[in-house]
Amino acid sequence: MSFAFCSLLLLFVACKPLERVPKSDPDLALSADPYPFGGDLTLVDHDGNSFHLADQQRPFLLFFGYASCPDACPQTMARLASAYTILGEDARDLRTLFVSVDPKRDSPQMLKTYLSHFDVPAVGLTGVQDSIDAVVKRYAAHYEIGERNSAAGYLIDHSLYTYLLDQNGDLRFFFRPSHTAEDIATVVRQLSR
Amino acid sequence: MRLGLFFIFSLVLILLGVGCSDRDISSVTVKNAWVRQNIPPQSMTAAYLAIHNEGMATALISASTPAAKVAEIHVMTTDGNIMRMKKIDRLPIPEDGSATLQPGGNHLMLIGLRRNLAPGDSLALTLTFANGQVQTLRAPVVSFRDEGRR
Repeated sequence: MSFAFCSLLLLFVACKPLERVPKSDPDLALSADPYPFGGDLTLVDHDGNSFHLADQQRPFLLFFGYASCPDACPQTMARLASAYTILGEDARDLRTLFVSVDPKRDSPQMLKTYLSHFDVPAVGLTGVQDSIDAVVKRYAAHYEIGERNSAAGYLIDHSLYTYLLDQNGDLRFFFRPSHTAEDIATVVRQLSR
Repeated sequence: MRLGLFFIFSLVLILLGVGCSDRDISSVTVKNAWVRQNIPPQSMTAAYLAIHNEGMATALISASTPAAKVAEIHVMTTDGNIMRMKKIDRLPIPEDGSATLQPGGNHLMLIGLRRNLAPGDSLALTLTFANGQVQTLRAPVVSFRDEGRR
């Protein structure tokens, strides 16, 4: 009995240091070729002007969300703010596109106010439902009305990827929620090499 | 002699009963509560905390704060790449276990804020559990900037 206990204890102690080794992420490499989805889009920006991605000639981070989102969207914005801080001057051309999947509630002015609270150079994009749906489809994203019985009105279930587009508007990487601000900075820096 | 033994045995049973009762009633502790700053004109935000239970299985059955009209318990599930959020009436807390409400996961959604919640502010949160325990604690308001560093 005590031998078995000691063996287990030794095994535990022997394995413990392994847990301290940071797990490297072999996927933090920019795709050499653009992904076959994503790409150009035309929507309305948070100043009420037409926004055409192909005219921009700069890299973007893009994700789908909505201003009433209580958790995932502010969390993503907070993570992006940290990534910008890490990148510093390396992020001087990088902008973030917040594409609203809630055009009924997210007016351009609402998006502008919402985004002004984050330390992220971001452009809010909205449009008519069909235009948003076309962009969602092009980026292989997803959203749907979820919980309807909240005192907040309806909640929206939506996909959580953050896409990295190069200066040509091509999709070169997409981040999962598990990617940290450091991960985002690591991949973004590869764009300028 | 037999009466004495019966008396002692009864006393032990009573004390054990009191002990178990104490364990059940005051078994839950709540730590690390914080609230995300809200973005006017949005009058809602999320609160997070860690619940530890050293007793029998119970559940968080309601939350309230004077700072909001409503506090809902929301569970978040990830279905592939899609985040799904649902309002629930009770959040189970396992026996001798814990439940953590954290960004990207389960949370309390505070709806109809009666004032804007800016960093440096704090609010009182009252949590009611199925075992009858009621806990009131103060939760600081955390900025997006500080949240990103967490």
